[in-house]
Formats: sequence, C-alpha cells, structure tokens
Amino acid sequence: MRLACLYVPDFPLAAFLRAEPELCGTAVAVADGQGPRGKILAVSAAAARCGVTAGLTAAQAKAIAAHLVVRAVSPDTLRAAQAALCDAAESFSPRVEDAGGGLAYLDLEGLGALFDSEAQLANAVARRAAQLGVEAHVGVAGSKVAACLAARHGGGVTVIPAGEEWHFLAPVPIQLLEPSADLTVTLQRWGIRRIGDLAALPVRAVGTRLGPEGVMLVRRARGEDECPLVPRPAPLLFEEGVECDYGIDTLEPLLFVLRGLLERLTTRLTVRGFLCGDLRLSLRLATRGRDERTVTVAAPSNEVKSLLALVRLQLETHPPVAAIEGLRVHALPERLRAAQLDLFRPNGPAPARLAVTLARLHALCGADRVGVPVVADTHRPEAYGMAGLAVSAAVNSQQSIVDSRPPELSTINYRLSASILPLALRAVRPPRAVEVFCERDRPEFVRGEGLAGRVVQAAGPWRIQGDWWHDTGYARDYYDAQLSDGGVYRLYCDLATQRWFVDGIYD
Amino acid sequence: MPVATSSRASAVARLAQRSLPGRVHFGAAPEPVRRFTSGVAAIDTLCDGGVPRGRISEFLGPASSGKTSLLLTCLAAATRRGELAACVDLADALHPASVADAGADLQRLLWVRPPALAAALRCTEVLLRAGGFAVVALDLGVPLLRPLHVHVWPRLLQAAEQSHTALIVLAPQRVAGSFAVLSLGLRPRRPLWRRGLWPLFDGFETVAAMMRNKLGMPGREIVMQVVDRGTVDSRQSIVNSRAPELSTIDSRRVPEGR
Repeated sequence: MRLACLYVPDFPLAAFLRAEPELCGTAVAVADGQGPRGKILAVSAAAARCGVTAGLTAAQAKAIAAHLVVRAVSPDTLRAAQAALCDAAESFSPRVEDAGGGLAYLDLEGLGALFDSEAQLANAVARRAAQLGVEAHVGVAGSKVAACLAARHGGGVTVIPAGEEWHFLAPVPIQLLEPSADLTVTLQRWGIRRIGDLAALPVRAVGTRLGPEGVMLVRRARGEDECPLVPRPAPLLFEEGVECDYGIDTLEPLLFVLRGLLERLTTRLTVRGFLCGDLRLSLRLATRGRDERTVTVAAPSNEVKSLLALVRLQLETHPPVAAIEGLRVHALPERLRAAQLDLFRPNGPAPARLAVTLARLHALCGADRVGVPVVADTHRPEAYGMAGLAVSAAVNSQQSIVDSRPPELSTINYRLSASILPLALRAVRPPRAVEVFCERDRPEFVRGEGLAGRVVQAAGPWRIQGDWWHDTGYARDYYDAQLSDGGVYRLYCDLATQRWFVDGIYD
Repeated sequence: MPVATSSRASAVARLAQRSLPGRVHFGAAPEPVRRFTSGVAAIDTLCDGGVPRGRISEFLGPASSGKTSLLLTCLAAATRRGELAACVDLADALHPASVADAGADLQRLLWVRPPALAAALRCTEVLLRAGGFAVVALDLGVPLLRPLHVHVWPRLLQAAEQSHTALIVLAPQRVAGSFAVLSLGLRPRRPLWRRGLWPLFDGFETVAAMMRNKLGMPGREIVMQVVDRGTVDSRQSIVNSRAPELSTIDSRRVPEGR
C-alpha cells in the first residue's frame, strides 16, 4: 500500500495568507486571540527575519517589529483551508483521510497507471494544492507515519521507495515523532536522538521500561501505522469564511471580500468537477446577531462575475441591518449536466446570464411578479398562476413543442389561417366596480372609472358558480357587452352582493 | 485625396463603434434586417416579411381593436419555434388562458409585471441587454400622461440592436416616435355577433394599417378577423341543446333563461 501525505507547514499562517494573499511576502504573524495578549502561533519568513518567533504575545511581537501585521486566527479560515487541502487530494482519489491541522492522507492505489512515477504524481498533488491557495509538502511512503515524516522532514516533494522507509527515517530527529515531555527527557538521557536509534531498540524491553507510550513510539519509529487510512465520508462541504478586522457597513468593501471568497470556492468546485449552485451567506453582525440568507442560482455556474452579481442584487435588495464583522459562504455543489443542443433551433441566452437577468428583474419588481404564466386549474374566470422560469429547461430543453401539444392547439390551426387571429382577453385586475343600469334585466348603460357608455349589444347571461363549499364561493352572471365607445367588455354581476364589475376587455 | 479618405474612414469607424441609433452608413450597404414571422400570413405580408428583429415596432389601437390578439400570436409564434419571449406587462392585463389559446408554449414566455412605468422601462432594458430573447413586448396599456424622457427610446433601441431582439410596444397611440421602424395601427371595423335565439359574441373584424414603415412601404391596409371559435361553438352547442328548457342553471358555462 502506498500513501501520500499532504502537510502544510505553519498551517494557521498558510490559512490566513490564503484568505488574504495580498499580504504574502510581508511581516505577518497569526495569534490565537485578539488583543495584545494573544499568543503568536506562526510567523512569516519576513517576520522571522525581524526576530519575531512563535510563543511571544502580540504586544511583544509588535514591540520587536512595529510594522508587523498581527491577525487572530479564524476558525472559518482554518476550516476552509483544511477543506481546500482535502479537495486537492480528492481531485485525485476518493480515498482521502482528513487528519486536520493541515494534514491529509491520500491513498495512491490505482493511480500508478495515470502517472509515470510516484514523484510525478506527488508533484501534481502539490501543484493542485497550490492552485487552491495552499502550499503543501507532499511525502509518499508505505505507511502514514513514514509519509507524514517524509512530508514534514523532507520539505517539498519527498518519495520514499518501497522498503526503504528505515533508511530514510533513521537520521530524522526524534522530536518529529512528538513524544511527551517526560519521554523526551528519558530518551535524551539514554542518548537517543535519532529515529533510527529508537527503532533499533527491542520493543519488549522498551515496553518494560517506558510503558505503552514507549511501545507506540518505537512502532512509529519503525514506520508501523497504529491505525489504517480512514477515508473521510465525502461531506461535499464547500464553505469559505473570513473574519473582518472591523465592521463592514457599505456594499462595495463587502463585495470586495466576497469576490475573494467566491473565487476560492469556485476554484475548489472546479477541481472537483462541480458547478456552484445556491449560495448560503452567513453574515456575523456587529450587533452579535447573524444574518442568514440564500442566494438562488438558477443556472449553476462557476463564473465569479455572475455569482457576484447575484449576491450584489440580493444584498442591494435586502441590505444587512448592521455592520458585518465576519462572513461565511456555503456553496451547494451541482453536477454539470451535458445537454445536446439542436442544430435547427436558435440558441437561447446563456444560462448564467439569464439567471442574473432574472435576479435583476426580481430586484426591480419583486419575486412574485416575475415568472411564466400558468393557467389555473379552476373554473374561476379571473384566476391565474405564475411559476418560476426554469432556466435550464427554457434554454436547453429541446423537446418537440408542437408535437407535445394536444392536436387542437397544433401549429397548423394557426398557420393556415391567413388573416384570422385567436381572440384574446385583456384582464382587468382587480375587477373594476361599475354601475350598470338595466332594463328588463338587460344591461343598458355602464358607468365607472374610465368607462362610460350605452350598451349597443350584449350576450349573456352566463351563470358561473363554484367553490360553494368554501368561504370564497362565487356565483356570477357574465355578459359580453359592446359599449358605444366601440369596446367589447366582459361584465359580471355578483349574485351575492348584486354589484357589477368589469373583469376583462376583448382585444 | 488620401487625407480626406482616411479621415472619412476614421469617422465612419468611430460612428460604427459607437453604434448610435439612426447611424450614418457612409458608402457601405446597411446590414439586412432579420425578421421573424408573426404567425399570421397577412401580417407578415403587410410587414414585408415579418416583424423586424433588433428594432422597435409598435402595435397601436384602442380597446377591442385586436392589438393584444396580434401580440399574443407573435409571442406564440416565437415560443413555438423554441425561442424565448418576454412580456413586460405594465397594464397587468395578460390573461394566461388567452396566451395558451394562442398556442404559446408558456414555459418559454417570461411574464414580468412591473409596479410602475419607470420599473417597466428598466425591466425592458434589462431583458433586451440580456440577449437571447426573440421578442420582448412592452404593454403600456393606457395612454401615457406625458412623453417619456428623451433618452428612453434611444437606449432601448440600442439595446435591441445589440441583442437582435425585437421590441414590440403595445399602446393606444404612438409613443416611440421616429425610433420605431414599424407602427401598425389597428382599428375595430365591426363586432361579429352570431344571431339567433341567443346572441353570441363571436369576435370582431379589424383593419390593420401600416402607419409607419421605415423598412418598406407605409399606407397599406388589410382586414383581419379576430374570433374565438372554440368558446363560441361550445356556447352555441349548449344553447342549441338546452334551448327548450332555458331555465337550467349549471356550474359550468351554461346560459340562463331570461
């Protein structure tokens, strides 16, 4: 069995620089908390050259280097960087163990046919991790311990040939096995400073003197794993987050931060072969509250520009109530569905662009006022429905529309009629109340808002009743009436209230 | 005169780059206008081949003139070809059952109901700039109280030209002025009543007149019939079958005796 270990040195710092890449090359330190008492966890090379080391407090570090940038480590940032590391590994094989803290293991079984050598494979893994913003060392060996030590001790890409773990590990300092403090002192007294020295000791004798911890240490020194590779159960969690140093209360800076998050998210999704579906935004407000919202992405896409436009529209329509101190973006992964376009049909709009257009229309009119018309399944004349436009169906669906329609609605009926149009009704919403003067139960004159005229001719009544089993039941007498202004209107008399309404104009 | 030639070429190139509406074509033939069928042969003939894409067209007329029926026929023709269409319905007058009766594929018709005129114009521009729509209809409904801002129609025309989308404006009177290449006026000629024991509204005859046509010959007229055969025939059959007993009341569309 061959395994690769991905190890990110100074993981808190690497995670922070992944979130804020513009600080690469500057003196940066990551502390475990806000304020001057925060303990420094990791420092950049530039900061180390100034004399700042891990273990100092933020105040001490700032005293050494005034220009030092000290940031508190954010759990969201660490989680996102660890997920990115696992994504890089999973883009090669699904058997990946998430060891946390900037460590991940990858099972190399079956990948030999894809690469000429293990070194080439390890280089590809390192490049993929770098593509996702994480500079990882990669070690390849026959066991997890050996691969981990190779990654941590070797630096860059280190491949230990099968069966040669002993030779590689022998000169490695024993501190890399991370023994406890008491055990370290004991081993130093014994004069054991290299892993090879420890591995040469008999296990039973070490167990007698140092107990179970000593036995485990010797086994690890020999490259023997305590537990096998445990592949993570593929959570498919694509989430990026960032903590802000100060509250963001305007849209443009917020979008600037969001752009970076979306870019990293879409890169992760791309290497895993997914598209970005709906986005969930979790904004931590300065008022200690949280603003959770979902941005619907009608056409899954990995175009940052389109996604950012959707997020912008959402935030413009419903701005947060307070300044934002931290934000997290969760993307729903969607599989790309290949669609065969029809050679003889015109191209529709690009799905991503149509989705942005729909979002703009929603922002202008409201979500309930944009969609496709639906004929309501009821006898109530004024009833209508509206459904959301299915972007992918509207753009990609290539089924034969004419053939799927009932025969009475086929194209032929309309195409053959050279100068005959089907009559349409213009709805009046809501129905307009009018005053109708009748003679012998026939409407003779109609008067109302923007409408007045003698009835020239009328047809009806057509009685319509329905929903009598509900409170919303109706009973009406409908008339088609031509008024003296030339218009033909649809009138009805509500039998319950004896009031008249106009609910449509034939046009 | 090489200097004059180069300056002329640069001026033409600059004008073409800016793509101004009503642009000057200097020496080169304008690109042919693409059209799509309205779904009615007589209207296609009147419009010299169909409704022009990438231009503004107007369907004008008073109530019961048939302009809505004509618009729905155009939308139906576009959606039946598999293209997307949109209707910006400021008047909130679209009747889904009528759209379905016209033969439209409802899944390909985007219905936008803006709350105000400014939002309607903005929605129209957004749809035109999105591209990919065969036709965008703007139903203004009632006459405008005052003319629109001077920049509205040039913007819409520019967006329509760039996306090759036909913009059809439905209004009682002309609103787009010289920015409309085609203004089709409809006026009711006479309603069609089916005489008999029980009079039935059958539809109406209407006259479609080409009031303005920048791409062809204006002034021609045709007479069309706008009829609802299906409903009228079903009502007629009900009347015929129940004529002897005119007092029957039913929950469906059944005539009641006087």
